[in-house]
Amino acid sequence: MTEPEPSGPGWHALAAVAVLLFGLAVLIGFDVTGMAPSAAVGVGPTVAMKMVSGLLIILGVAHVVAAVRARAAHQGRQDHELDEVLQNRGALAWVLGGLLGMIVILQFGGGFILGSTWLFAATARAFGQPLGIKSPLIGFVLAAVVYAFFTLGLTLTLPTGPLERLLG
Amino acid sequence: MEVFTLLGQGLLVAIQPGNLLFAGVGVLLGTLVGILPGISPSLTVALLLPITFKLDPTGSIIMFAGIYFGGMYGSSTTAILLNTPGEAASIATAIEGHKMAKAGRGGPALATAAIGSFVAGSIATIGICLLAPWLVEFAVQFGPWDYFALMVLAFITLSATFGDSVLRGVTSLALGLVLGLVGIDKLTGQSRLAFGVPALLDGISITTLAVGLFAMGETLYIASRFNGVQEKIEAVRGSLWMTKEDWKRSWKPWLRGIGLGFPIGALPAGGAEVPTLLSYTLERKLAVKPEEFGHGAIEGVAGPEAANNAAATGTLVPLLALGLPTSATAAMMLAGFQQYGLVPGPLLFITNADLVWGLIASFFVGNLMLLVLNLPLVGLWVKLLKVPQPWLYAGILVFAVMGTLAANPSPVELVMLVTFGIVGYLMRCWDYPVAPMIVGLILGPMAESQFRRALQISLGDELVFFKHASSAALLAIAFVALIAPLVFKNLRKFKGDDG
Repeated sequence: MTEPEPSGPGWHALAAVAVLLFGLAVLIGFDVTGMAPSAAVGVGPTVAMKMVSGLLIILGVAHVVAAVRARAAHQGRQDHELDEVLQNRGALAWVLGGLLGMIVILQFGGGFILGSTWLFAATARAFGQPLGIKSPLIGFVLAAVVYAFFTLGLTLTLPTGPLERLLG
Repeated sequence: MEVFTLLGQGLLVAIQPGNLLFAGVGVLLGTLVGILPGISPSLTVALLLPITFKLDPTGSIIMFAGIYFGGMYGSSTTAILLNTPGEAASIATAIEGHKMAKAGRGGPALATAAIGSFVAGSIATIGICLLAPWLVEFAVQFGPWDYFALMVLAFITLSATFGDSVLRGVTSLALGLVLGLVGIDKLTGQSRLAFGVPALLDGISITTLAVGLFAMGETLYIASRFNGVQEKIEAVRGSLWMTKEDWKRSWKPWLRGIGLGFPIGALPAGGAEVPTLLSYTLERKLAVKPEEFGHGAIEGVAGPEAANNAAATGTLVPLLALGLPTSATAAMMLAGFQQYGLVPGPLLFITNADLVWGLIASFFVGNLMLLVLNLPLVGLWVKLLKVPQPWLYAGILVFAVMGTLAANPSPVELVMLVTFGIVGYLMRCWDYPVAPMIVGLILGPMAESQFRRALQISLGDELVFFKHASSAALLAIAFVALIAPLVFKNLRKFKGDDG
């Protein structure tokens, strides 16, 4: 990374993390209430959950305090926090689109090679490589080689689709 | 001495042709992946973990060690030639090494890094031989309360003491602890935080978390900051070899680097960032030509590289003897062990002595192979740095997905991978360290089981942790380690970005 890093999160981020931490604590608490009381000797499985959710609440409060302070320090200044996180939206969308596309392709039985080809081409697009013939081709060859090596060479199981069945 | 007999037996295991091959393949693969910009050694280990799924335990763990050392070497090559440290521990190398490469002294910079790593790795391995059995003897007397206190100490030092911010480090750790709770409770068989999703009953896979946080997070981060400009690689010009003066200026920094790196790495506090930065500062102070620092001083490469390698080897002491991972890479190694149902710790030295000593011996072999293979192949590695970014990151994602699918072929696993990727991206944006989260996931459940055992033995007396002098002392140290950075803001001088 060549750019200077921002010196820690701004107040929106801190507040968002605080919400997340409280949310997780509530989620754990909800799960604890749903569990049957343990009759076993010693400490049951809920003690650690309670300890962790306690830690989450402490951290959440600390984040709220930090957020309030950061906000006070930032008073009156324009902030670009959201832009910071969503910098280069197009590229982010292509990478995530590649990953989600892969999940969908696998879900509908498209197989590893087809899914990886899409993932490869979409990621390359995020890094400025146009979606032409070149990147899908490289992706396809790479995926086929990886598939052959790992399934035939190392006898691992990867999701199969029409193309994989052709390969045998 | 008994240790050397055992080590000799280990060497016999390590130099069996099959295991030698595993070590060599591991070193090559580790370098191959580790050299790619933006890939840290822990990610290298995470990405290559699936390759070892089907090998026998000894072979795969030996290959693993090779991958680890290869990944570290690859990371320093990238730091020198591309000025892109793959991990925080390579920052010092990047400062001086890149300047040397610019001045046409890339060859000696790579050579002093490689030879220094070799010397450090070898001496630190002897350190393991001497220290680990002693620690094991000590550790068999440990009660569950001691283990719990030790784990608390490791949590704190890893997340709070050496990080950038106590709050962000501990938050990252807490997220890891939450993930560690997911799945079936081993003692009672009750499911926790699984919410009826069958894929969650087995718990969260450490590989999925590591690959998501590191590979996906990093790719998203680089993509979001991508401006279409390929980073400039310094060609290796001039002689590859070190001159007599280079040797003279390198050997003392190597030894000092080892002196700093190994003990700090072997402490249950861990991490290679602190010793490398300390070594850099020390060499700068002791340098005959301090004016060269910042413009390509060979001492500034030799010392930190040796410190880095010695510290990385040192983290294997608590990992092997206590089963305590103190860095993200060690956590990945532990995941590798667990895959074979092996539990590192004092018992492993008794039940799988062959494997342990074979592994330790293969560190020697791996280090030697690194030196023999990598210096002549430097031209090939440099070519790898020229892979254009679109292909590079697209390839990384394909491999990341492949690794996850090979470990657990289910769409839920992929959804988790993508979620962790987004979490990793946000953590990078907001400067939260990711390593504590990984250690939290793997160490959290271990700490819990020690906690419960301790309370079972003490018949529910919560004060058991304070009634034993050893665990009380460890907890006191942990408390100091948590408070110290808040009190002494000066400690931040030592900080690096968490890797």
